[in-house]
Amino acid sequence: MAHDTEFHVHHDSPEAIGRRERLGVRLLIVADGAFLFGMIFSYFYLRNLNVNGGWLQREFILSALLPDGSPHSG
Amino acid sequence: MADHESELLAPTPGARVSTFLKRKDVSQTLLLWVFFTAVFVVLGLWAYPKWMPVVLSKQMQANEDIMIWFTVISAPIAGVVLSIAAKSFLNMHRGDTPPEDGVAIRTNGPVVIVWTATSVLFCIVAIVWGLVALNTESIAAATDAPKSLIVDVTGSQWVWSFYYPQQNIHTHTLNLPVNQPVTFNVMSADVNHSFWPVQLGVKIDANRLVTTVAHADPTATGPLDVKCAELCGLYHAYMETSGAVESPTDFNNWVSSIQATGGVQQ
Amino acid sequence: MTTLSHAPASSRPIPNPKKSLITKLNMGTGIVVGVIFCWGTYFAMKAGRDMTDSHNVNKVLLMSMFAWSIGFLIGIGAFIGPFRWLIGKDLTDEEQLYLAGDGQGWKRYFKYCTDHKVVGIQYLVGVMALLGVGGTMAMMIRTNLATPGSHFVTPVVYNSLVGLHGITMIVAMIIVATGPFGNYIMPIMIGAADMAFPRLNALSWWVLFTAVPVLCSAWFLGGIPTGWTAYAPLSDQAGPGMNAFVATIIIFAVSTAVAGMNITTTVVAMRAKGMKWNRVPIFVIGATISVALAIPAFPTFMVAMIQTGLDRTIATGFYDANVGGSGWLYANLFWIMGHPEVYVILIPGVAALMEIAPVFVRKPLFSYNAAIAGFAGIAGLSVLVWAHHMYMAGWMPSLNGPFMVTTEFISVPTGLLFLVLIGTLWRGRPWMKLPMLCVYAFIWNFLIGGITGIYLSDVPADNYLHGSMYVTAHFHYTLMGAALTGAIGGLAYWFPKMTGRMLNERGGYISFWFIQIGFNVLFLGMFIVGAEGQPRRVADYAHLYSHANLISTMGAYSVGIGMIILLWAIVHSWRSGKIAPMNPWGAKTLEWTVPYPVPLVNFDQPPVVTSDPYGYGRSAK
Repeated sequence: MAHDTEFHVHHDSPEAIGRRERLGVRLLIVADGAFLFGMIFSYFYLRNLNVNGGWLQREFILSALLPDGSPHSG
Repeated sequence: MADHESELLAPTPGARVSTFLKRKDVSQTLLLWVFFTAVFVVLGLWAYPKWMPVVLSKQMQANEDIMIWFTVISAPIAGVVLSIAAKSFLNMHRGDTPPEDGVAIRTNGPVVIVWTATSVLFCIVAIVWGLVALNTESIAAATDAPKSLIVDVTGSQWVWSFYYPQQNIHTHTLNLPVNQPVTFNVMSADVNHSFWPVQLGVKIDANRLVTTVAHADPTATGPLDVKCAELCGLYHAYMETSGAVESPTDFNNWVSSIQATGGVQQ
Repeated sequence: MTTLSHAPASSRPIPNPKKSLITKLNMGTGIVVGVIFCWGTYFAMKAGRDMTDSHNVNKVLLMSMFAWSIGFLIGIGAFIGPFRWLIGKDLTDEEQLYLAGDGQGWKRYFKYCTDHKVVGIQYLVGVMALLGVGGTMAMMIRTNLATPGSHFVTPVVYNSLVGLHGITMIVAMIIVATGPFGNYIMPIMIGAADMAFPRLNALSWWVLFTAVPVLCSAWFLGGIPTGWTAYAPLSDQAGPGMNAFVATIIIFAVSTAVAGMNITTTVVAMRAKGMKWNRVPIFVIGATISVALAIPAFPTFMVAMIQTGLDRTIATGFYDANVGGSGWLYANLFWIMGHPEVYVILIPGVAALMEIAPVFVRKPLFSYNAAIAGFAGIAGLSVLVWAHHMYMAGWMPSLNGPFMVTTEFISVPTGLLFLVLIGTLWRGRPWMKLPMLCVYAFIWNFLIGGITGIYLSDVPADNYLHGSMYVTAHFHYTLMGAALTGAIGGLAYWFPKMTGRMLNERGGYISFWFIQIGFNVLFLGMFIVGAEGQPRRVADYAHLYSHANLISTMGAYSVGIGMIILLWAIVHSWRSGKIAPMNPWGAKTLEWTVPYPVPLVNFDQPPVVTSDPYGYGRSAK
């Protein structure tokens, strides 16, 4: 940082600034975490709902192994 | 200080309470409390039945009961808040300088505890009432299922259409026989709608490719309005139809008249 | 180290770093660069795309809107600091002082100014503009609903009015108290020289600023067919105007996250010496809890909107049932944000009134701890209640009971807020000024809003009430009757410190009564038609509801008149009102110990706090 001769600005100690910045970043991480939660919630919720059979069923894969080879559709 | 000392000497809680009640600000607040409580009681007992539509089902009756009795039960609490606020308002000081300082009451432990306990109690009453009503409703829906009239409801932008699978008729009005439970299977052809047969007091959203279910027990005859309660686009306001809860004879005649014209209501 | 604030302003060297780019940047350059980016993106993306395909239209419009926002921020110099970091430098002290607006007069309000007091005024003007636009839309809505069969506006316009009025007011109400007062007053109240992150403070304001033209562009793109909740799949189906809504929310969520983090860090880390947590003014506590709640809440709204945007541009199908999506996903994501959000709106308004009541009743705040328990309880429970907005959605009927339990329980901490206020009023003699009047209006309005909320939270009753005008009346009582009234009280209270002048009293009182009486007529009438069975968001209604609707509309006009009078009072007083003394209300919080104009770093010497600010009152008995 430049040290002008006329324009002295009070700077807090590095420790205080560091504490402040760590807290701020942690709060932003909480926000990011909520964002991530939204995406994960979307995935698992839609998969669970399986509207209109739009997601593959586990039975589909298993039943493909049946001897008569007839898979059930979702 | 003489009054102060006689208060200190008063030995019993009962005497302390009566001294408290005799204080001018307390007695005036009590009068205001009676007034505000009465207003809310009248609101509950008279106004809500007047505003709410004709009751045609058990569910609508339950809804109306909740509106009436929750208002009456909350009346005394509303009264406490409003009476204290009103008394304070009437005691105002006008002028360019503030009045002298009031009493330095920081807190009052017993008051906080009683207040919290009372609000928890009201909360529990409301919760239990609601849970019992919910439970009764779901048990009724389950036991009624075998003998229910079934109506498949489809919401589409911007009309309601009904299909009665047991009678094999397609209609655009909702007619139902009285005293027979009815199960609505509701679906949407496009966006979210909300199926609301107003006088039956039930409501369920209509979603695309998923069927949601509502159940009603019509108990009286009368005209029925069916509205949409979820903004669904341009003509949401006009997505309405009518119908009726009618006697079994009238209902059967209505069904027959539609079956006679090929099963589709004209 | 000597700080400049010791030297009188006339002898202080004025920072003017001549070689620095920041002296040349302002709102004007921001707009120029923003428009260039917007049009550049628009034409670049349009080329070679089939614009009859709605997906392409949505892609082009969305990207152009984001380009506008980013371009504006570049043009106003928001990224100069981060850019310098990339090359291992930072702003010089002189540049930092320049950014703080030292010696620039009125021009600093149109620049990227880091002084929290400037940001507070910017938010105040911005909020007033948003309220004006949203309020005008409300007048048009009520005019259309004055009589049945009215065609004052077409259904397309009406539905757009409803949705855009909603989102404009929601954005305005989120920032109405924490924006102006959380920024201007709060740092002074805690004895700090500025916010924790002054440059992010300016960023949060200017990011919000960029969202406003984006929102307004919806009108020129055909409006929106949804409510402010933008439910899917109607939002997927909607025309180009919906892109403006999507972009606005995404931009606004950035502003809110940054502002929330800034305010929270400031309050946690920068309180004056001696200001322990039990000596912090209640407004500061309320504002902090509110923004801290916003930090996890708004990102889920952002996700919901991003997914809407993706559905509309690359046909992802998050909300399209034909391909395995569901409108219920949207509803859940939205309300996980939406319910905490209404408390983000409510809490600062109530906290401002709790700051006001002790001053004007000359008694301590009753049970400071109960106030904190109330705010914390509301904030904590608010993340557990969201699906009460979806009782009738059919998404999971078995969860209706549990959500009913959590929702009903919110009435307990809410009740504590009432206790604190009426306990403060009890045995006091209130000084009847506009801030105090707002306390009474709040009590009446929030009582009605709160009790009607209890009915709505009850699932069987909600069977009838959901989606009706009853709901609309309920949330206007809480968001407008309670939160906006609190903000108006806060403005009347802090006006002397923010403008150096007293708010015109007669204008204030007249506007107060027009607004409050009109408000109650407007929304009590709405409770009636809701109970009678009128759905919400309808451009027209059955004749049965005509009387109450007409009366409601008359109430709305009274509110409109009152707001115009209030606006006149604010502008007139700001320009030529009575000069305010340093502490016109005889209050005890720190902001009343600094003169107006408030010095750049607020305090000559950092204050030391030895007690809480509620030490009013003679001893009992």
